[in-house]
Amino acid sequence: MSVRKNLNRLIPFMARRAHHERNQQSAVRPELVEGLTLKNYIDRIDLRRFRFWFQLSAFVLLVYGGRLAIDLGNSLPTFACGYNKKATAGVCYLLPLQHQLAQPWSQLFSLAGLTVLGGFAVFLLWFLVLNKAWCGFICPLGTIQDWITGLRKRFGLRYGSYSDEQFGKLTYIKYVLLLVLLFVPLLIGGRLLSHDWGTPYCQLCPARMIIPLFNGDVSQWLIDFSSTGRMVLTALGMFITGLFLMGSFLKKRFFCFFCPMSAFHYIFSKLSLFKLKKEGSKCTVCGDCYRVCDLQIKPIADDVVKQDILMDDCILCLKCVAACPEQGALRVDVLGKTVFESTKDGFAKRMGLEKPK
Amino acid sequence: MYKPAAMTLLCAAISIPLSAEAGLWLSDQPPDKSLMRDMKRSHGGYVLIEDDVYVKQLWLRKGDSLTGSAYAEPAGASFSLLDTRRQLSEPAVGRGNGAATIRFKMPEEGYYNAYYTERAVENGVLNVATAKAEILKHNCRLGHNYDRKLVEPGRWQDAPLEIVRLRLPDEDFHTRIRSGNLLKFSVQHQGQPVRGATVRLETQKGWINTAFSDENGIASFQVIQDTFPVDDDDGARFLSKPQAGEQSEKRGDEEKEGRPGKWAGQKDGLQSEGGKPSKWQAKKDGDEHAEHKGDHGERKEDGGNSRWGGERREDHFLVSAEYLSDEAGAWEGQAYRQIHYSTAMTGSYAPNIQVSQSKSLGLIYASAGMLTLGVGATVYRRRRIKPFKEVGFDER
Repeated sequence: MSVRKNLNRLIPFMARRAHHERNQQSAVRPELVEGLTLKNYIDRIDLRRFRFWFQLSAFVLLVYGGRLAIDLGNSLPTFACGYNKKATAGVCYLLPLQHQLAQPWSQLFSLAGLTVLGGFAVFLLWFLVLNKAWCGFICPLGTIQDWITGLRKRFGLRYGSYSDEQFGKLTYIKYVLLLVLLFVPLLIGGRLLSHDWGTPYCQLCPARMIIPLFNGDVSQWLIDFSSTGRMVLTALGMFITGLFLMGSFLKKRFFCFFCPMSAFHYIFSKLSLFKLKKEGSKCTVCGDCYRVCDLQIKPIADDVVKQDILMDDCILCLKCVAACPEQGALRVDVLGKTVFESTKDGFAKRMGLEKPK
Repeated sequence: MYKPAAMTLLCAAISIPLSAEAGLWLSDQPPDKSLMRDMKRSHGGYVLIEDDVYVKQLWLRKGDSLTGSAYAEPAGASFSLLDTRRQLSEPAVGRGNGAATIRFKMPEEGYYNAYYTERAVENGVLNVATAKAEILKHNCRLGHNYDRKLVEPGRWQDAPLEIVRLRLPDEDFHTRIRSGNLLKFSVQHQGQPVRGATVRLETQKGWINTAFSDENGIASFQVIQDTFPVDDDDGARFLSKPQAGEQSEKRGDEEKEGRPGKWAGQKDGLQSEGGKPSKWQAKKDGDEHAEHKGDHGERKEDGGNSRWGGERREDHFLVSAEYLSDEAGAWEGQAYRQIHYSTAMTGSYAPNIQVSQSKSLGLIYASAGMLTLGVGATVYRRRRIKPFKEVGFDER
C-alpha cells in the first residue's frame, strides 16, 4: 500500500521533471531566441506595466469619457456605472437589463420584449471580443481594487486569502446575486413586488457609490427612506460599500469574487473569440500561476487535463501567463491564433533574470 | 395679429383677477376609471399601447381645480395637435360618458402638445378658452441618445393664449419636477410674450398661488413641499406608508361597492403648530394623498400597479393664465367689446426626495461595513496564529 502511495507521488514528479528537461532542450532551440518578432515582443512584455496603463486609460475613458461626448451605448459588459450620469462613456449592461426585465409581463413576453434581446445581442458582441478580460483590463471597479491593493503594498501589509473550504462556499455568492438581479425585476414586472425594489443589484453595487466619487459626486452616499424597498436596498448598498473598501484593502480583487457580472460572463465565455488555454503536457505544476492569481484559482495550476482553463472566477488579467516559466504552457488565443503565451524568455525578462548583453 | 410691444402694454393695464368662470383643461384620466386597466404608466403619464406605439387619450374637463372639475362636452370648437416636429394637425374628437376625448398616436420621442379652443360671447365679452396638455413620449427601451432639442417645449404660433413651461436646468426626459424647484411659465399670445397676465397654480392638495407675468411674459412659482415623511412605528421615515398600495386597493374596493373609502373626508393634512408635521398629521397627509389620487393620478387604476410609493409617488398641479383685452368685434353674429383669454394646463411634481434621505446614516452604514470586515479579518488572523511550540526529536 505504501509503495503504491509512493509511486503515486513519484509519477507526477517524474512527469514534471521530464517536461522540464524537454522544455530546457526546447529553450535553446534557435528559432526561439532569434530576432525580435512582434510575437516575441508581446511574449516578453512587461505585463504589469502594460496592464497598469491600459487599465488607467480604460478608467479615464469610461469614468470621464461622457464629458468628451463619448458614448459607447448602454450594453457594456463592465461596470461603467450609469449613476455616474453625464461623465460616463457608456452604461453597464446590468442597469438596462434590470429595467427591461421589470416591464409588465404582458409586454415582456410579447413582440415588444424583443428589445431585451436586442440589448443582450449588443452586450454579447462587446463581450465576445474580450471575454472576461473586460474584468481584468477594463472594469473601473476592478481597477480601483487594484489601486487599493497597491496602497496596501505600500503599507507593507500582507494580503488575505481564503481557505479551500471558504473558497468553495463563497464562490456561489455571485450566482445568488445574479439570480437576484434577474428575478427581482421579473417579480416587479409581474406586479408581485413594488417598483421601489427596482434595479436591485445597482442599489447594492459599490460602483454606484464609488465611481461617481471620481467626478466629485457624493449624491449616492445616502440611505433613502422614501419606501421600505429603497431603505433596505440603499442601507445594504452602503454596508457593502464599506465591505468593498475594507475588503479590497485586505484581499486582492475582493469584490470580483462576488460579482454577478463575472457569473454572467462565465455563462457565455465559451463563445468568446478570446480564450485562455493551457497545455497540460508542458505544465510542471510549479504553482507560480496560482500564487500570482488574484482570485486564488487553483485549477490553473492543478488541472493538467483541461485545455480551456478559464474558470468562473477568472478575470483574465493574464498574470498567470506572464508568471509561467514553461514554454507555451499557458497561452491566449484569439480566433484560434496564439497572441500571447508563456515563454522562458519572457519569464526571464519579467523576473529580471536576463543576462546583460 | 398683435405686435409684441403693443401686446405687453395692453395687458399690463388690463390684467384682472381670476374670474369665477370655470376654465377648461385636458386630463388623461378617463371618466370611466375601468378604462385605465388597459393603460400603462409611461414617462408622459397614462398611455395605451397599440402595435407597440404609444397612444394618448385626453379628456376635456371644466373647472378651476384638479379635484372638482367636471368632464365636459365641446361647444363647437376644435382640437389641435402639435407633434414633436412642430407639425400641426387636427385629431378626431370622440364622445362618450359625457366627455369629449381625443386620441392620437405618439410614434416619435419628444413632447406633443394638444390644444382645445372654445369661443363664446357672454355679456359683451368674447371668452376664448384654450386648454393645453403637454405630453412627453419617451421609452427607455429606445435608448437615451436622443437629440436634446427634443426636450425643449413646443409652442403653437396661433394659440390665443398659451402657457409654456420653461425647462429646468439640465432637464432631460427623466427629469422630474420636485418640491422646491423653481418653475417658470411663459405666457404667450400667438407666440408673443404677454406681460401682466394673471397666472395661478393650484396643486392637487389645494394649495394656490398667484403671480403676474413679467415683461418677458414669465411667471415663476417655487413648487410647494406638501408631502412630508411619515414615521412608522420603528421610527423610520417614509414618503408614503409602507403598505400604501394595499390601503389604496382596499379603498378602491370600497369605492366600487359604493361606500365611501376609509380615508374619505381626511383632507386637511396641514402642518402642525411650529411647522413640523406631527406623526398623526403626517400619516393623515399620506392618506389624503391616497384620497386625491382617486380623483387624479390614482395608482390603483395604474393597470393594477398600485404599489408604487416612495419617491415614485407624484402629485399634480393645474396652472392657468388669463387676461382681458379691449378688443371689439363680432363672433358668430354677436358683438363684443372685450376679449377674455384664458388657458390652463396640468403638470406633475414629486416630493423633494432629500427629505427622506440621510447622508450621515449612509456614512455610518458604510463605516459599519468597513469596521465589521476590518475587525473580523484581524480577529480571524490572530486566531490562526499558533503559539510557537518547540518540537524535540530523540535522535537516539
